[in-house]
Amino acid sequence: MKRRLLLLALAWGYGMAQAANVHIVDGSTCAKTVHIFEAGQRIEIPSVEMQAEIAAPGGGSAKADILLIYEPKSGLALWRYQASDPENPGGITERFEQDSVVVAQNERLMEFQLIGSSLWLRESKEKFSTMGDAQRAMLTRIERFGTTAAALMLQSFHEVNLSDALDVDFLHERDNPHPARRARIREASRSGSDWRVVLDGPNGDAVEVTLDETLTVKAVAPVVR
Amino acid sequence: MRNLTQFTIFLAAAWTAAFANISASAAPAAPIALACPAATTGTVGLAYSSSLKATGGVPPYTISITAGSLPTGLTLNATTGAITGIPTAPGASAFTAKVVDSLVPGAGGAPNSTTANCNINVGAPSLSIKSVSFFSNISIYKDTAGTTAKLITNPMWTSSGTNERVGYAGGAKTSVSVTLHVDKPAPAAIPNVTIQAKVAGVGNLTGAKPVTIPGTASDFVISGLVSDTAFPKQTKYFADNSLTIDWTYTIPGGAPIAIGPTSHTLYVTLQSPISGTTVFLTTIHLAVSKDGAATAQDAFNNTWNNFFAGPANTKGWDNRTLYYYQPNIGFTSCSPYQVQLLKNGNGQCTSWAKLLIGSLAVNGISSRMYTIYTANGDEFLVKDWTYGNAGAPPVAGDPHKYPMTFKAALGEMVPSPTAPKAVYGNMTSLDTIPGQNTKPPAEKVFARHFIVKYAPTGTDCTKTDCYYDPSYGVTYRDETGFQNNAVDGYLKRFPTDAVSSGWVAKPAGLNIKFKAS
Repeated sequence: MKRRLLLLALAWGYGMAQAANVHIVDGSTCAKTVHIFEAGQRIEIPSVEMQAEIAAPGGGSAKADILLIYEPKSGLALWRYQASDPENPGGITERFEQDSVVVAQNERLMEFQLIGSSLWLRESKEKFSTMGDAQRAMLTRIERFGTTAAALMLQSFHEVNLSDALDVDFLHERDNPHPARRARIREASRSGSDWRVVLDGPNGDAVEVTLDETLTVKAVAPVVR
Repeated sequence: MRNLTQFTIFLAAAWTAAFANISASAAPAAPIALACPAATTGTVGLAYSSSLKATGGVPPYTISITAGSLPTGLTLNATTGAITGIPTAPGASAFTAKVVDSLVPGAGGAPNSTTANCNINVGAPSLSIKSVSFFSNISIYKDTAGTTAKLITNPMWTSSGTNERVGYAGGAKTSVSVTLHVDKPAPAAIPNVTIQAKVAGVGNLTGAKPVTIPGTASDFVISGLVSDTAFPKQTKYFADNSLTIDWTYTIPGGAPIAIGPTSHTLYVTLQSPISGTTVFLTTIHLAVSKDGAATAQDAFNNTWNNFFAGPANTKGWDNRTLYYYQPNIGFTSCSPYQVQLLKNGNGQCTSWAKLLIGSLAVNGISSRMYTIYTANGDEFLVKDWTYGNAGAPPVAGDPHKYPMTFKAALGEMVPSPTAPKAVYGNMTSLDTIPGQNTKPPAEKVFARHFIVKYAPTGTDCTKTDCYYDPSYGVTYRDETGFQNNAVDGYLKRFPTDAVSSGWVAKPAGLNIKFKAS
């Protein structure tokens, strides 16, 4: 936590002191769609992805992939920033669709990611009249924070480590050491004041993890298919 | 005158009588002669009947063999000259027969006799082995079939070139079925022949069964040839067709007649494999290829020795190198399945653990796969292993060959059980293990690792290494030992990372867990 606070402070300090030079790579902006859950239904909402070249504080520049999703009914927006994979730039929308489950609920977008044995959650309550407004706000923020936006973004996530709640043989493909063969989120929903997250294990089984309002694991139960 | 006439008549009668007597005693008899048997050939196992035929002289005759001998199994009737019986052995018999007639000595002469030099050739049907099937053996699957493992089926040996490897459990008797071909038939079927299969070099393993050899050029099958004695209860590898079966047939009372040998490559395990074990050519090879293990511990040591010092030293039955992450093969291309490791020659730690477990199970030795994982869900990074001391170069010609070695001073995680203690090398990143994690960082990241625990009853695993890692050819004492010596660090992935990583220092305390799979 101390490390995160330090990073955040540095980011703010740097961002307040000097706006980064952000250049959107020509031709990289692309309108797409992503899926989210709303009222128990999987719906499609607009998104836009782009690639930015950001001047690094020590000279040179770094490339980042940026994604903005926008829920037009509520005006809620959520954006993602991540350093480009130099060997495989772009594709942030596809990765988002693969890794993240977003639930639109009660004036907020809640994003869930399962990475290893940790469930990562973050919420966005930012609302904009149009997608264009949301995009401008996002770019302004990236200009302010530059490459430290990734660290800032990380602060917005809350980690729930499930390694004590789930068996190691649920999280990983049986007998396979490969890190990529893992459990995935099937769906997430709100139930009263709890969050319900259904995880599909790589071995064909599934569990429902219930988190309370403080995002503490409340219960884990197998899901019968 | 009457007297003269009477005298003349008497004299004439006497003369006539005398002449008649003289004529009777001096009539020349036909010279005695002896003819050899008309039948000059016979066949082992088939009745022979012919005779030495005497003529002339004064019968009856007495016939005998004065030199040489009749074929084995034939006898001579001295009065009639008949030669009869069943030849029991092939070959040419030359003999001298003598006949003596019945002329009474002292009555004007001596008994007449003569000899004859005769030959009787006894032949035997010519047989050859067409195929050999082994039963009551260990069913062996071919490596190359992958997930559709193909069982080696009978016949395992054929004269047309099939020669599959055979496995038997120590303490088992051989049970063989053979198809023979009559190349040169006898004039008639030969009954009551005993087919024998004598296995050289394994005590007195013989099997016998009476059959009838057909009198035509054809195949015939003999099944259920079971050896008299069993294989000893210890591992034995008859490499390179060094197990020879000498095939013979014998007719009653005769000596064995050679059919010919067949040669086989055969494995004898310590004991029967664990029930349900699928035995592959390579697993039985790894289990048995070193002879003489008469105890489970010996058999374990021999098997583990095939894995010790890293998979680069592990060969399949056909001397193929089996790779732990084959060079230039991606991480995901390395299968977790033993059958794929055997088929394709490369696999990840799971397949290697299963290979060791499967090889031990061939000798009836029980072991168990263990999962290594982290308590906090992080991935872990194995160290870059080097040979011996820091800075030791990779093996010439194989830049990927860096078996993991350990610090002897730790008193644990040393290669065991038979090899000398090695020295733990440096921790410099050398990007050694190919095929995985080609992106930076060059360390090797695992969500889990799979090893094997072998701890026979009475083993104190706090004092000896019970965890065997066939992927690296080393042993571990416990979780702490693995963390201290095999783990370079831990990797935590964050939701904002495109590539992978955020580094986390080793957490305080023990983060490594061993769990029975």
